[in-house]
Amino acid sequence: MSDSQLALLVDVKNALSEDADTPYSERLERDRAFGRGLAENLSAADQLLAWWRTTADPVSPTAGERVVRLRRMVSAVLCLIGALLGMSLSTIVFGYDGAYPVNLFALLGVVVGIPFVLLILTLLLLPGWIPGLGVVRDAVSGISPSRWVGVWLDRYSRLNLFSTYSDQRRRSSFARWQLIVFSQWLAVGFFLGVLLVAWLLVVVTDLAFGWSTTLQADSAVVHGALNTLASPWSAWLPVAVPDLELVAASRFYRLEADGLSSARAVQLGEWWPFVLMVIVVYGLLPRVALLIAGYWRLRLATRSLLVADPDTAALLDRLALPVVGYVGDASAEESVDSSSVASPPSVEAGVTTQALVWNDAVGTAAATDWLSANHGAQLAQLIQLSVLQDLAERTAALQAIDKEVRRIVIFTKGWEPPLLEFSDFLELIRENVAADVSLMVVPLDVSGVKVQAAERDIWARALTNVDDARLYVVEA
Amino acid sequence: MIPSFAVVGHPNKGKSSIVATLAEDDRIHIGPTPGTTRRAHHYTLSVAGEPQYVLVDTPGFQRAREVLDWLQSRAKSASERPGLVAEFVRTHEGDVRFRDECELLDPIVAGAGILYVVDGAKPYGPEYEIEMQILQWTGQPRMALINLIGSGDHVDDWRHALAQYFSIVRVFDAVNADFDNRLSLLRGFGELNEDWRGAVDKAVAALKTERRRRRERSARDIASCLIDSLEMVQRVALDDRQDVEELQSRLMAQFQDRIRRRERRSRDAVQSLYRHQSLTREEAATELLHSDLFTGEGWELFGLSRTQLAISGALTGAVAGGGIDALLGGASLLLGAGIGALLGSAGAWLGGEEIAKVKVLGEPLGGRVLQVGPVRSANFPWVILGRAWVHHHLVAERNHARRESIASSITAERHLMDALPDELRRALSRLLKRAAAGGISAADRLSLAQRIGEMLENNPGNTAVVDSDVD
Repeated sequence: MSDSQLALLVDVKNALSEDADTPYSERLERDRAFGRGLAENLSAADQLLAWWRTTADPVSPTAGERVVRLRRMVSAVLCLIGALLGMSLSTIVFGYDGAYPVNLFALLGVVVGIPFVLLILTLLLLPGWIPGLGVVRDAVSGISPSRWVGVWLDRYSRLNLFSTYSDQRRRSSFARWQLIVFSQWLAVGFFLGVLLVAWLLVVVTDLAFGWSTTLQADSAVVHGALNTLASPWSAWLPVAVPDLELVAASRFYRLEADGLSSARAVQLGEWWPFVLMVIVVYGLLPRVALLIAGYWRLRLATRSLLVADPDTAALLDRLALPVVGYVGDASAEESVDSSSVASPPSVEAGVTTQALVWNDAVGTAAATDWLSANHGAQLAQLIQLSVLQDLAERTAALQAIDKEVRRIVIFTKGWEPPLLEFSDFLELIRENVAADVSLMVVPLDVSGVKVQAAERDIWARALTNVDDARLYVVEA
Repeated sequence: MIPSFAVVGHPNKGKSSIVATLAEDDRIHIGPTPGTTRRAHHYTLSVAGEPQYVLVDTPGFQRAREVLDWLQSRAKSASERPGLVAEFVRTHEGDVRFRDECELLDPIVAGAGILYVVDGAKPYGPEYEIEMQILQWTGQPRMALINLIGSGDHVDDWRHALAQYFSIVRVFDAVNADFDNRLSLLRGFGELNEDWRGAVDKAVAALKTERRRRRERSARDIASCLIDSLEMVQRVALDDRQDVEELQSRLMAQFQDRIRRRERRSRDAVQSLYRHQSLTREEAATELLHSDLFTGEGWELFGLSRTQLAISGALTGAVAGGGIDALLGGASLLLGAGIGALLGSAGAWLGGEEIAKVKVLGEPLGGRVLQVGPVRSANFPWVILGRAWVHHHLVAERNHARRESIASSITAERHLMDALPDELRRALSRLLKRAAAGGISAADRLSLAQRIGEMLENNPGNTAVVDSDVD
């Protein structure tokens, strides 16, 4: 039904508006997971409905239900206004004081003819049927109470469907058909009001109908025209088809001042089935048909609005399209110890120093130059050690270090990360030298000169796992 | 069994960067401090819920020499080597000393292909061969990736050394690799093992399709942002006691804020589409001048201005009066229609004020209103579009291994569009004019999104865009 789709549209739009702040990927994962659980042949509206019911946790009455209720109320009020108009007009046009019969031409012209012309105009003005009639259509829509109601309904539903009606390019099919449906409710109410009063007047008063014209009209011609008019029901309701005798007898002239005889009044009253049928067939039924057609088109337009709306289209996209992406099991970042080893003590001249080069961090000449510049004389022989050597070889080299050495400088590749096997190496050194010997790690950069303070800090932090009070990391 | 690829190597050589890039996950921790990855993390690529392959980010080798010593002390023949590696993992499970080695070898023992990562910007060292030997002992298909962290160039040395242990050696800049580089690398995974190729090819095809969809979705979102911004109107009901100028400035500020928020929402959506969840940006807000905006005061009822309402009242009155004329058979000489029109227009003009105050379900029917917007500057849609284009380009090409915020600015708004093909530029111009004129049909909206999609396929160009990464 159009009602449920409109309610859904309003509610889904509201829900999507509230959902707008949820990160897209989160929405994508959530909606695709939900979409996978939906039946394959489910319509777009049903998919949206299922999504909305699950995601939005709706509380009745929802905004959409309120808008639908309001629309029903508007339709009912328009129908009622139409009925009151019809009853008022009917009271006037069926007015009969006994002096002259009710003029059939005037009656049917006002009650059926003008509304029928308006109906034809409505149909002609339906978009796309006749080009160039936009101006007329806009003028008509400008005075349409339905449009006023639509604008007000817009403000309530916040859908902005009728407010842009005057702009042809932004006019939605929904608004167009909604206006037609509203108008038909007014018209249906009108004809029901007309029929009600006509029926009451027929039942409780004596009505007499006649026709009159200034023209030289032959009764046979009038009879032929009226029979053509009555052709839709002539086969199954002959009582509502005037015969030639009745047509001929019904012509009246206002100069006939003597009023109607009882017999003639009875005869002229025989018109009422025809009159009512004309109102029903040419007034009420086309409006009812247009109302039904309008509802059908409105339903399509609502559905189209539901599916074509950028937000709902994006949601349907998320429900349907396969998600391509990674799902990881990474948890929160793991903490890294930010503590650091102590700064090195000031260099005392004359202290015997042993230099070790780990993993070919620097050439012998460069290491010697660095040591002479920073530690003066008393330099013991430089030892090259590497992880490629086996443990026994490394241990033997360390055991050979002079016992007079009070400081060991270890050159290492500053561009490489400090590994645990380097920590193991430092522990191996400590096992082979006295506890009061300072171990000074010198991370060098690729050019063999110095590392950045940031890299030095990385080494300093990493080496905190070596529990050694006399271990220092030195900037070259 | 779905293919699995373990990204292994020395610590701090960009393993996590490679995984972050391939898995499009900017939440993966990447830092200069070694040992930030303490256990293996699995990232499964799924297509429509069906897993295609798994990437495993692992900790780096810490005591490779000891591991190799353990293996060599037990090996009798080459055929035993893979089994020995598995035995090492089983034996040392729970041993904190070899925790990292167990974490990295475990997925390989379970059948994962090996992606061994080194840093080609740093010199090759023979100590790496210990790791390579261990990996060789696993017997699993393996590929070496020469990552580039920094400015040095030792790629050739690395290539020669790696070629002795790995069947495939590729250079892959994890931080700067674009989408095509990533796909090329993924295809390389398929070359490691014939059985894995199907799943890898399917994943590559799905990623390409996903890429296109992201661009289309971005285009749709940018089009919506553009149209919303162009149609944006800030209105407030006026009463006689209010200072109109003060209210107008306030309304203008609110209007600008709404434009900013709309743009921000669009940016977030695009970043979210490309899975840049943690990406921050520094972008100057669009500044609007008073002259760029329509500002005005008016009155309305049922969406009609006072004049429109009077005309409508006159027409309605004329129709009603015309009905009376018809009833009188024209004897009234159309006086009914005339009087009806007069009464209708006068009633609408004079009574509209009172009707406007009536509230139905809490909504007033009309009244005096002050309005700011829509933006009427012809340049405005181009500015919005240009900014969105630059942002999309930065986000779409951005690698998930990068951690800086992005900053973008446009030096020449209209000039930026010179990078586009003429036909596309003209089509965009036509659609933007329609959008700026105050309304756009559903069909034009769709066309605009399509055209923006085409625009996003292009590069905004270096001459017009200043793209800088801000630390």
